[in-house]
Amino acid sequence: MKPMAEAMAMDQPVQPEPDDPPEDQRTRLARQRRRARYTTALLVVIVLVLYFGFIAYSVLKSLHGHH
Amino acid sequence: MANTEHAPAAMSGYDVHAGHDAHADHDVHAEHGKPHGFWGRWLTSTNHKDIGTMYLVFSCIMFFIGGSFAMVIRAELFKPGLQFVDPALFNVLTTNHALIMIFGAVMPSFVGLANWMIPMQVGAPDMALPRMNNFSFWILPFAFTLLIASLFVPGGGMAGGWTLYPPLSVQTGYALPMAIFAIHMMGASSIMGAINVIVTIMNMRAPGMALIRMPLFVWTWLITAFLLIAVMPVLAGAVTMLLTDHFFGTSFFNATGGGDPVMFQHIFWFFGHPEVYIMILPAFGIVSEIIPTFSRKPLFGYDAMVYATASIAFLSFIVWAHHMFTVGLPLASETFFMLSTMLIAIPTGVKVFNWSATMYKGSLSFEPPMLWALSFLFMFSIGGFSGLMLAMAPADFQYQDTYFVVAHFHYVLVPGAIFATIGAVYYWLPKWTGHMYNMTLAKWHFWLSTVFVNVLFFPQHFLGLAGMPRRIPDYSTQFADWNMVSSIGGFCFGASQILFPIIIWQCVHGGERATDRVWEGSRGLEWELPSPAPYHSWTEAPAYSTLEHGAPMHETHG
Repeated sequence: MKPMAEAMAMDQPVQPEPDDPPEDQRTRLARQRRRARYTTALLVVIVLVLYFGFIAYSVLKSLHGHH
Repeated sequence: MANTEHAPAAMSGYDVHAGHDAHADHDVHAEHGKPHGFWGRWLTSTNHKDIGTMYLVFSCIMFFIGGSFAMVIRAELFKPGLQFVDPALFNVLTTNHALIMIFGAVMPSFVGLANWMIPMQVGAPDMALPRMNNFSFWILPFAFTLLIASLFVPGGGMAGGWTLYPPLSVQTGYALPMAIFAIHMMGASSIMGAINVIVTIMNMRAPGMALIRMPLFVWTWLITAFLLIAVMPVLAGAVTMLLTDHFFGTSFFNATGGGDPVMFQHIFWFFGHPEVYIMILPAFGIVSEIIPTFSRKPLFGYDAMVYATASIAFLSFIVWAHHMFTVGLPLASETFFMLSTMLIAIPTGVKVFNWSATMYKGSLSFEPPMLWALSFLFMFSIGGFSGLMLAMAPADFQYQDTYFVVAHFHYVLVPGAIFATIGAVYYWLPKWTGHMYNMTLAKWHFWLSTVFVNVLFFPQHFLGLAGMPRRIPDYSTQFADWNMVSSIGGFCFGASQILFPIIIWQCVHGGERATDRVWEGSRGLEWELPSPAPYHSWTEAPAYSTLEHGAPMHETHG
């Protein structure tokens, strides 16, 4: 079992050490924008796969029904 | 009672002075870049607060349009026999009442709240994709203009129910392509809104705000957005196939061409059941914000609430066929879907018990938001219990397509989703406008709504159990008494909703000044902003030193 002080320290959110230089606001925003583009692209791909996937599934199922 | 001064830091858990520093920072930048002129402000706005406001106003308008259809329906059902509308128009009204209320009122109202609150709660300056945000809103007025216009074309509007089951729905005339195009646009809007929510939450949180420490409203919206991404394309696929069956000679759902109409039901309900949770999970988030505030206690079991929400979302994908017990499913399927549906009661029960435990030994007060949240708690539970009854396949053969089902889902959606939305507006309105609203009038709004929503919907349980079918304009005389009671409840409930825009209008245009924290027990980042919230907020991200039960305590910098 971890000592209480260590467990409490682990529960703290990650944040810069006091002597770390503060992250530049523009660097942070640029990183956020870059990650936002990746996330958006991924979600758009998921939407397209689901949309065409369900239509393809129905086409295959209908063809199967024909024969 | 509304807070007239900041709550003591020890009680609220906030560094109040740090909050004041944040205000000084915001005062400088708050109004920077605010567009002037009506069109410049609203048509081209990319500001999350403006777009949130537009969503909320739009959903309110749709609520009254959809509600007016419901009034005609209840007038027709006031007594046996045909009074006001012919059966064809009755079917058009029931179909479009549902489409407007689901896609036009409930969903946009939650998107509006998400737009307003998520950036403020996670410490982001705006939504991640603001131009897409504008686009996803402005699609909606066109979609609903098209849908409502479809009521006036030759042959009348869509009349096969909101589920659009073929072969009935593909027999619709000119209204079919209009309604399907409208549904496509609504779906596109919802998907874009969901992408925006996910991208914002995943990428724009303030430093130090871990996922497991986000406010519950943000959590429930994140999960809702994933549900939307997963199921709206499925609806779009289904209605596209309806369209090609009607116009291009395909036979996806046409039995004479080798298709299968029951397959549409499977695909539709694979969308439709998660859709139910899309309309209730944000309501869970709202109630999880309101109850701790007015209990003056942190939310009981924060982690369990998050996991319960995720569990409900997961289970929502494996229960769809409980809507189809009577189509002739294999016994094994019916058993599986019956048991999986019953499983949902477990995480939902966790939530209800956690809200109750939050109130236990709390210092409760009963301002309007708390009243709506408590009403939600009681009446959503009634809807949940009747849902459990419907989950039992053998019993469902009796309930299928009766007014019992109508009573069930209206208890979930009206005192559930809509009451939570109204509670959210009363909770955050002072933060949005900078004014307190008329508490007396708001309490009248609450009591009238709560009494008459029960007069409206509770007798429908009796009608359903007695065998009254749903979607009929006329009925046997044995159902007359409870239908009359239900209609009286409907008229009074509808009339009492007129108070809502009046209260909001008064609050926007004046009233007692709201403090920054507004409510004595309020916790969370949004309450650190001034009231009214500045046009641009968190232009510099707040930094957290610690968090407690999803309510961040922060130190500002910059």
